Amino acid sequence: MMLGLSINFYKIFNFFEYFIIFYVGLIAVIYFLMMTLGYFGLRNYRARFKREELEALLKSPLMPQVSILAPAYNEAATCRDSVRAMLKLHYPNHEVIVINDGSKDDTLDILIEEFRLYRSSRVPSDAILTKPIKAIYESRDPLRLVVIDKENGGKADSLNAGLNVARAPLVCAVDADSLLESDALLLSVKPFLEDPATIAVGGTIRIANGCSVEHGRVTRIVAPGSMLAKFQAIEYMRAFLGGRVAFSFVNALLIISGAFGVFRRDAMLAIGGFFPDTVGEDMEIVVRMHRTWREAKKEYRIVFIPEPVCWTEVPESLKILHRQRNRWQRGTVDSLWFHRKMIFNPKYGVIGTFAFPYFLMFEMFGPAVEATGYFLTVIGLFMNIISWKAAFLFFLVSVVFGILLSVSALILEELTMRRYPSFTDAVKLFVAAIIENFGFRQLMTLWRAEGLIDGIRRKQGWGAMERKGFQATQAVQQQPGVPQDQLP
Amino acid sequence: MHVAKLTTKAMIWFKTLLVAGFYVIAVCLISALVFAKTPDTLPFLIALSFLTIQTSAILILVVFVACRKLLEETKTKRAEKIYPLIREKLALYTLGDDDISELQHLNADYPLEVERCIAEFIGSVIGEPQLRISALALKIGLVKKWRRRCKSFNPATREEAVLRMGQLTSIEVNDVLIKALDDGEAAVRAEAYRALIRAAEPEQIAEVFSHLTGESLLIRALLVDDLQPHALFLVNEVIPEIVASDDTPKIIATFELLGAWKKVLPLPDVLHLVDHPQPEVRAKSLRALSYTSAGEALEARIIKAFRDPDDTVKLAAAYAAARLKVVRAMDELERCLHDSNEEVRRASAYALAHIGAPGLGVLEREMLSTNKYVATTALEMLERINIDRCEYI
Repeated sequence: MMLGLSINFYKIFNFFEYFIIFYVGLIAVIYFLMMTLGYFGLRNYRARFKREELEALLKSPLMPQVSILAPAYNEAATCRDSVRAMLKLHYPNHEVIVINDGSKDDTLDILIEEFRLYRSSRVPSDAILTKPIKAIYESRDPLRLVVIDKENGGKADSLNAGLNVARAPLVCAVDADSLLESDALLLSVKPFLEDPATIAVGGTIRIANGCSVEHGRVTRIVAPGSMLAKFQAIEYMRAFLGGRVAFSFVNALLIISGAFGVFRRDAMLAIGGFFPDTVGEDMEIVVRMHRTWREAKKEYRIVFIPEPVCWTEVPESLKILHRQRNRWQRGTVDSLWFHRKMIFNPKYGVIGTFAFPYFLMFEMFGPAVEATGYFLTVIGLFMNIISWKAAFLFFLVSVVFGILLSVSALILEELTMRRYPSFTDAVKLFVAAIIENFGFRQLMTLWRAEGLIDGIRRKQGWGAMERKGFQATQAVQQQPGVPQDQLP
Repeated sequence: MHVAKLTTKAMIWFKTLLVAGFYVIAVCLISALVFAKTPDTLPFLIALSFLTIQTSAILILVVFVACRKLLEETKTKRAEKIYPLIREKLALYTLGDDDISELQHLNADYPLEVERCIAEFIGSVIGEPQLRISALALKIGLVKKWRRRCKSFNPATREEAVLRMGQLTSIEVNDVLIKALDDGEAAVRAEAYRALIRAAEPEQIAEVFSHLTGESLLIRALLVDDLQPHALFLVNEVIPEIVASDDTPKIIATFELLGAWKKVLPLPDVLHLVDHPQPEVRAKSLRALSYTSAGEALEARIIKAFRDPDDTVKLAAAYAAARLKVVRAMDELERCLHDSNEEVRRASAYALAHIGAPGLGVLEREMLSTNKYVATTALEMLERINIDRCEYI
């Protein structure tokens, strides 16, 4: 009897082990396929405008107006440069709307003084319910700057307040400390001009750690100095150049980074703006757009532009990174839960039959399954339940395939975008692509698995995000529950 | 979706599936041939085979990237050496030296460099030299090559070929350019439009404009400036036909272009379009009409437009009233200053400020209004008129 039970336990244990090996291997295979699709897609893509085209567009009166929405919370140290950089973007017709989300420092005073603001006659529409707006300011100088002073309500609430005040047909949601490339707006508006069915556009987010930044612009691109930031650089390459290009190719892009995204304002208003009760508002809104447009059976496009348009600082401390990853995972859980109706629902086309199941199986549960795999392998080996070969196979699909994926992403970057001009940087990143699979990836898996549990338990809150700052070392404090950093 | 775009998409899928298929076959072959004697489970064999293939693929790609970098450097060095000679020969040829034997030799040895130099020259010379370079391109077979490249699957190759073809003079390439107007790639179409506009043949301009009004906003935004020199011709020859048609998107696009040119033009009779059932046409026509000379009839339409149920039409009416300084619209503007829509209030204030002294008088009076929104708007406009800001209309 005992022997029978023991044999069954062995069998079940081994079955689980092999199931997890298959599962992790399948994720790797899907990623390789997406990278291949991404590579061929990128080869046919010309994002940059030629000089003559840029000149023509910059003076073209037909370019639609864009309102840049930049929520700011305690950004006193950087707001001057950030706002100036946004005002100087190469675009013929844009305004900057800074939303001061109840900052406790002197962000508002600095903006009033620096840009000679006065209380404007602008009145926000009541299209989306937000926390009360105290005042709206505009500049006395010929600057197209609007500052909204409102009660603290979080990032989504701030963006909604911005949507209520904006009048332009296109809105660009950014983080106050996002560093945009000078032609970022022109590039991201292109899909809207090409196809009126386009309702949202997202761009690649790059890591600014280590790069030289002057007056809110990245002036010299180098690989990040710290190993932690290098690992994240590799992760971003894998996610943006592989996953997002492929998802966009089949019109199934589910995330537009909170750090930079351009939306049609009427589309945002039609769906009620950003949802404030989630930490993953950037994914939720895109999913809601898909859902609304598919239910209405209207033609639409949500596009990802592979060109790097926005630079951001990533955490260089494990503590902050932990919070960030936990939050991202909770955001994914929220979005999938709120719109669970779409999962495996053919009514939603490729979203219901591919993108949502993919996110559910691999992005949401993937880390938990992989973490279980590590656990089972160690226990199984220790208790002599699984063979060394099974353990080696798990190592092969989880770690070695991981290395292959990271190196492939780096090669994809070199073949297509080539943003790191220095050979030394390429070598450094190559080394990081290998090392990140020994420890860092496993740690991310664990944190994401923890995020999944927190997400299921509906734990809320953003946590603090401390930034080193691009110009000088600075720490931006934040209260729990208040959004600050950006989610790629 | 455009056929060419669908083809491109299908090609991407095809290539991806081809790679995937290759991987499957390679995994099977390696499992069967290389690891056949390894007494292992199937998953292990598959994983090992995949590892072998992917590692080999990465190595090949790394070698490829390195070779490509090396090749590029070598090419650049080679080009740097040979460019001065090619340029010298081309300069002599443009000046009248008909001996092209050396250029032909150079073309045989350095085709890429010669092509680049010729492309550079065509783009930078005009008149007789341009004619001669075009003839040379034909003689040494470049035109044929570019014609072929116009059919390439790669949009960048097509775009460059159309650009080159468009720069040729006295050579019949219109067939290629007109065909390129239907290309799936916006950049290729834009090049074709530009070339045809540059040629400035009246028939072509008419056709191009008609085609362009059905184009995406991107192409129109790119070409609005190129078309401006032909505005008068278009207003006389093409636009009357379009505005008389029932094609609303084309009418809207035409008015957008007219508004963008910001030129006083003798527009055909389009006053009736101010009463068009579509608000967008009403608004766009009002804006375009603000660049004509005002008359009784137009002023009456503008005043009537302030009562339009659509706010965008009211905004356009305010814009027209401001531009044409329609003093008769003051009463309506003062009424709209109390409108529930903030944009209409601000646009009306802007128009009042631009009309001149009588309008400013109204604003000064309204500054003391008990309605705080109206008072703030009036006060703000009086300040803003000094810094010329009117982006809200």
